[in-house]
Amino acid sequence: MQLLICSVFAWLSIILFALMPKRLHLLDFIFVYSVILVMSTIVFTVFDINIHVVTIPRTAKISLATIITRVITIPLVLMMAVNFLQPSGARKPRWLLTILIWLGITVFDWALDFLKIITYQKPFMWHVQSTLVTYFGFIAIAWGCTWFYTRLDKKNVGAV
Amino acid sequence: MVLHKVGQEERGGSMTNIITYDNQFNANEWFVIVALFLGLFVTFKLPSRFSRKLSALYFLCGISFGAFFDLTLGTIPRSFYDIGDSSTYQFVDFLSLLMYGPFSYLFFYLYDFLKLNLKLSPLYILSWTLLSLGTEWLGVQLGVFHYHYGYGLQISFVIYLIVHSLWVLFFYLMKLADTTG
Repeated sequence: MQLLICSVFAWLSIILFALMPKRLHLLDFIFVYSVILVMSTIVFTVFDINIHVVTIPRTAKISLATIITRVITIPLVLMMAVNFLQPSGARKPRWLLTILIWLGITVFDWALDFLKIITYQKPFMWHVQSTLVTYFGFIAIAWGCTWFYTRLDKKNVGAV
Repeated sequence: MVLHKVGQEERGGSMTNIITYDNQFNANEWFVIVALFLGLFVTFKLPSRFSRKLSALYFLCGISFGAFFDLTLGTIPRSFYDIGDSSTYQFVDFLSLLMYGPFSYLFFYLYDFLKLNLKLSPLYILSWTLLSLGTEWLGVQLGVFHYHYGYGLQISFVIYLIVHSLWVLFFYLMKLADTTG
């Protein structure tokens, strides 16, 4: 059941990402995806292996569900949040949409806990705060890296 | 190499062993630091062949694949291999992810420099796979990687072949994306 739900969520995030109006170029999106993947993988591993604030049942189905969530759902949703923060031409950053995505992914994290895919070992309020802070950090760092990356070749117009 | 289990921790109702391989700053840490700085030195000394955006992407490609395999497939569902001094993760273990950056950059750089076509790509992929295996073997000897559950170089061989093949595909896609804007 968990695997099915995670797969559906992953596919929904792919559909939303495909339909979303893009404010970044393909290279920018690949860069943001890589940054988010590295960052989230490190943080989730520390949470799981080092400080044990979360537990992931090591069964085949739940493991696959977790991998799908980490590799597809979370990076794509965070990429959408970063995308809406980019000014594009006359279009201004859409903070409200980013805040909605931030709150949405926090609720999604509680759903993972509810479905026993990732079980938090701490009280619910700790979970709420840590999830909000973690995803805020991911979005802020990814936004900063994107800001830097999108300006890289402006200083290097003549490069091959 | 000294292997001693230092304790068990309660994790969601199941007991998990934390394995400590050593407690000192020795060969495995030096391997990571030397490989990283050597890689960074070569990367920054080479004349540029790509746009800055593409160079950053080629560098990050290795780190992303490293993070995915070492921290996701390496820990879920089983810890098929530990990195560094302990089965938990330490700063040097995360630093070791950066080692993959120069590695992937050089892979793309040489592929472009040698102007290889698709016919010669399998040979290029095999060469890099053998180089990766050699580096990993050295890492195992120096205590950077510790295998479990039957994991070994033969599995890494298959993984490297797949990853390097994906990188060749990635190279062409990125080149296309960069030229079309």
